[in-house]
Amino acid sequence: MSETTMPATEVETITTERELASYELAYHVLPTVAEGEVTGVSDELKKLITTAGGEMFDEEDAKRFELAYEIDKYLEGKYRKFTSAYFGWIRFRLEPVKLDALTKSFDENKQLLRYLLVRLTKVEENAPFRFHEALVDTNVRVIDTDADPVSGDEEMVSEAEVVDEVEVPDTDVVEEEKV
Amino acid sequence: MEQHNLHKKATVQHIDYKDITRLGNYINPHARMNSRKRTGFTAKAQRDFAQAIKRARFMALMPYISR
Repeated sequence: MSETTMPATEVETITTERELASYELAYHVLPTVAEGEVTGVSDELKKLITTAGGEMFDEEDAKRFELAYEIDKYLEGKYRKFTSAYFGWIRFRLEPVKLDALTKSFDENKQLLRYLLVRLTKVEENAPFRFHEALVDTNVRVIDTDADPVSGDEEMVSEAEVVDEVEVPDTDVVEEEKV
Repeated sequence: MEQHNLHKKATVQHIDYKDITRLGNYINPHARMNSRKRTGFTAKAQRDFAQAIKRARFMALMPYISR
């Protein structure tokens, strides 16, 4: 039990296994960038990754997406509000040691609204999720339901009724409390 | 308690933080995460789900609060 050093053969196997980790960089490009120049921004990001020693193995192009909430970004001495951005992601393998330098270069990029760097588990790595394709699929389903005008209208009416029912008792309760 | 069969299959594939339609099934109208009682996930699946929601919120794919 007094052995504190690992046998050389074991050390080798561990270091080779741990050498590369896979990551996913998800990013929002500022909506102020013109539609045609968005690919240029993502190309810049790819260049940063490859120069840092990473190997890309998957990606999805940045496309316009309406954000779920407003994001404030400090630009040229002012905070500006953004409600939409171009969302895309890149997957790459990199040595964990080199990650710090890479994140710094992402921070310095002025065309990014926000980014998220996630270390992928093996399950995540084997099942990439394509955001924009999935969104298109769901949109198509919505259009299909609209194709039946009768059923679509009924749904709309029922939703409106439910909302009314919820609101009315609320006001009643408030009035009773006041009395 | 009965486990959520849908998610048992899904855990193999994993819930991705970008999968906002699927994540949207497990939040209430105020955009809060459902508890394990409602989702019926295993403890691990619920942790993965919570992680995914939080990532989606940060990237403004899903709201922190609504209504």
